[in-house]
This record gives sequence, structure tokens and C-alpha cells, in this order.
Amino acid sequence: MCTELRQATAPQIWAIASGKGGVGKSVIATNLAISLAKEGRRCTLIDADLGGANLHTLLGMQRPKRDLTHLFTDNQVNLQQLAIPTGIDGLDLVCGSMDMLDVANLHLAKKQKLIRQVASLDNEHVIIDIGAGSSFNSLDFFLLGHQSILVVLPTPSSLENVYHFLKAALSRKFTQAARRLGLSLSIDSSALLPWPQIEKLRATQPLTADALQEEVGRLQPRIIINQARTVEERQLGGQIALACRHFFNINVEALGSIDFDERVYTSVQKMKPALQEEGEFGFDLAIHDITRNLLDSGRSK
Amino acid sequence: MSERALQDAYATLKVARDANLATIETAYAQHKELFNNNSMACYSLCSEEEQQVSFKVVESAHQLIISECFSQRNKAESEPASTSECSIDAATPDQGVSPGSFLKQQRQALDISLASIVEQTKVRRTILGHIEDEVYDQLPAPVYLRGFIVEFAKIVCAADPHQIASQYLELMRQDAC
Repeated sequence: MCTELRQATAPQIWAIASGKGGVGKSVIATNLAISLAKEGRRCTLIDADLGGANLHTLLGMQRPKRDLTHLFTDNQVNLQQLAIPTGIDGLDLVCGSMDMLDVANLHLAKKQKLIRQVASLDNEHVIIDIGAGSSFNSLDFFLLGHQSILVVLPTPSSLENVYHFLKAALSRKFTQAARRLGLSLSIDSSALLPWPQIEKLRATQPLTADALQEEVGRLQPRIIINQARTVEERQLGGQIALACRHFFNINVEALGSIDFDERVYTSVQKMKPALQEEGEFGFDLAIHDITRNLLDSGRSK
Repeated sequence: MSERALQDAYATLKVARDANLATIETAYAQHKELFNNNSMACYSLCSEEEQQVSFKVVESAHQLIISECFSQRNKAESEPASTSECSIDAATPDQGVSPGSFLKQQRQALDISLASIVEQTKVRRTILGHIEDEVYDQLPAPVYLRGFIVEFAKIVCAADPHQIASQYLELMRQDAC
């Protein structure tokens, strides 16, 4: 009974990463959070872009007095206490660290504390904005999501980073699953895809291999194409999903695409999120559609 | 044709063995797009040569599946039980009526909806509409189209469905010249 109650109140976590910086991940994370709040859902937005925190600026807020630094430096502080109101009904923000120079190289115990507390936050939804790159911190926050979302620009450089990120995430998922099953595998970190290692294991431990395959297969990332300018670019998500199935043997789902929109640039300049502006534009509709897609696929899980 | 090769072909296009022609066609188009020279989605995943090889693998997988589909179909047609689908008189096009118009007129005369043809042929509605209206540049490759038209013609009780399909493809070929 107790477990059931805990699960019923555990938040639905959407983790948003990009592999590459400057693709609009933070803008999308912020506006998805506002979109949830506008649907009457309670959401905590967490700025986990350690070392590059700026969501408070996107939201037009003053630099807050409390941020993640306090979680890492003070044992008495918990994540819930760091959530501050944003002025938007239903939406709280946990600001990223501003004063810890080495915060991007987070110590394991501190990271685990953060991960534990995110999963037990008392709220309906949590959106985590994850820093660029494929560091273990970024990967671990990405794997924490019930929905693991990647923002991609229709450019070769963005795709290259996203594919690298996905391979690294798969490898990390494999390592975590192997550890959970008590396996002491000599994991070859240069061979990023886990499937050959699972197949090798199958010869001697078929049941364990099945369990590993199932666990790693649970990673089903979603793709958002940002700043699309042509029909082909809007459809790139489907092509990426096909490529991931072919080359990585994982199921990736295209969530939708967002057209390039000058208005979004202006909103960042004005420090007022696009979804808080008067009127409804293509960007707002795209964000709304993606929110609905995420909510629907969360229900069917 | 070996069963193993066929299995591989279905796996290459990632479609189920009982997939209908429209599904196979869509999967083929998507894979062709993925492995063509300008595909951005393949960037950094494979070399140009590997991309070309994959493109060829997709082409031959598709060829294999399509020829298997049609040989299955011909086998079914040669069995006597399936020869008379229509219980009413079979029709032929009047002089001067193009095959697309004939299919449309015949469908309307028999009061069959496009949705019902979609249901029976598993071909997408837009394609059926384009077949009727003879929008040649929006139609799939002749290798599928022939099968689609034959199925369509059977449902609307054409006397010789294969003849209608041949006429249709001939007119389409002339139009392209």
C-alpha cells in the first residue's frame, strides 16, 4: 500500500538533452514546462546545466538566492526547498549552480543525492534541462527521465553530436543494468554499442543476456527537430528514428518539429518566454503538440 | 527464391511478413531516402561507400519482396475458387473512356465508397483517388501500380482487370514521353 502511494505521487520526469550546445534545448525545456503549467499541471523545472545555468534568465527572473550549490554544500538542504515560484501558476524553478566553479565535475555522492531527490520530488511533473555534451553527469540525468528527449538541429554537426550522445547513453545504460544484475563485466568502453557484448554473454548466461537486452531496450529516446526551415527538415526526425533502428538497434520516436521562428529569438532577448507572449504562433502550437504527444505516450507506458 | 533470403529482405525493410503492399512501399521509400547520397540522417554513421551498399541492399530486398507478393497473388488467382469475385455482370470501358474514369464511373455506378476500396485493397485513399483521377505524377512506381489497379478493377467488376491495368500503364507511359 505504501509503495503504491509513493508511486502514485512520484513525478513524471522529462529529461531534455542535446549533445551539442546552442540548439535551443533550454528554450524548449522552459516552454514545455510553461505549456504543462498552462494545462493546469504542476511542474518543477530543474536547471541541471551544471556550469552553464541560465533558465532563470530565460524566465526573466532575478538571480535567485538559493540554487543547486546549496544542495551540494549543505546536508540540511533538500531539493524541494530550492524550488522557487516563477510567477507562472503551477511552475517552480530549481536554479543551477552559479558559484561552484567545479560544479560541472560533480562528485559521485553529490550527483546521487540530486538524482534521488529529483525522483522523490513532491510534484506531478519534473523537467530537467541537461547540459550539452556527453559527460557521465549529462548521461545519468538523461537516463533518469521517464521520457528522455533530445533536441536536434537539422545540421550535420548537431546530428553527429546526437548520435555520439545516443551511443554513449546506450553504453551507460548497459553499464548500469549490468551493475544492477551484479555482473562484473569487463566493459569495453571503446565499443560503444552494447549488443555484441550481450550476444557474447548469451553463450554462457542466456537468461542474464535477455534481462540485459530488455533493460537496455527500455531506453527509447524521443527526438525534437528544432529550427526547421524546409519540409525535409521537418521530416528529419523520422529519418533519424530509422537510422537509429538500423545502426544502433534502438527504438527512437520522432516527437515533432519546431519551425525556425524569429519571434523565439526576440523572446530570449526580452527575457520573456515565447509562450508567455500575447497571441498564438507556430512555435506555441508546436510546443503544445509535443507536450500532448509526451503526455499521451507517458500514459500508454 | 530461398526462404532465408526472403526473411532477410523483410528484415532489411523492417516490415512484417504479412504487411500489405502499401506498407512495404512506404518502408521502401523511407529506406531509399535514408541511404541516398544527400541523406543528412546518415551523417557520421557510415561512409559514402557503406551508404551506397545499403542502398543496393534495400533495392534488392524490395525487388525480392515484390516479386514474392505477385507470385503469391498469381498462385491465388489460378485457383478456381477465387475467379468470380463479382456476382453481377462484368463491365468493360465504353469507347473513349479512359481506364481511370472507367474505374471511377464503375465504382460510383455500383455505389461502392472509396473507403471500402481502401478497406479491401489496403491501398491508401489518396493513391486510389489519384488512380481514378489519373494524377500520374503522384502515383507509385508501375511495379506496384499494376497490382493496385488490378485489385481495384476486380472490386468494381471489370471484365478484364489485367487489361485495364495494362491500358492504364500504357497511357501513363505515353503521358511521360
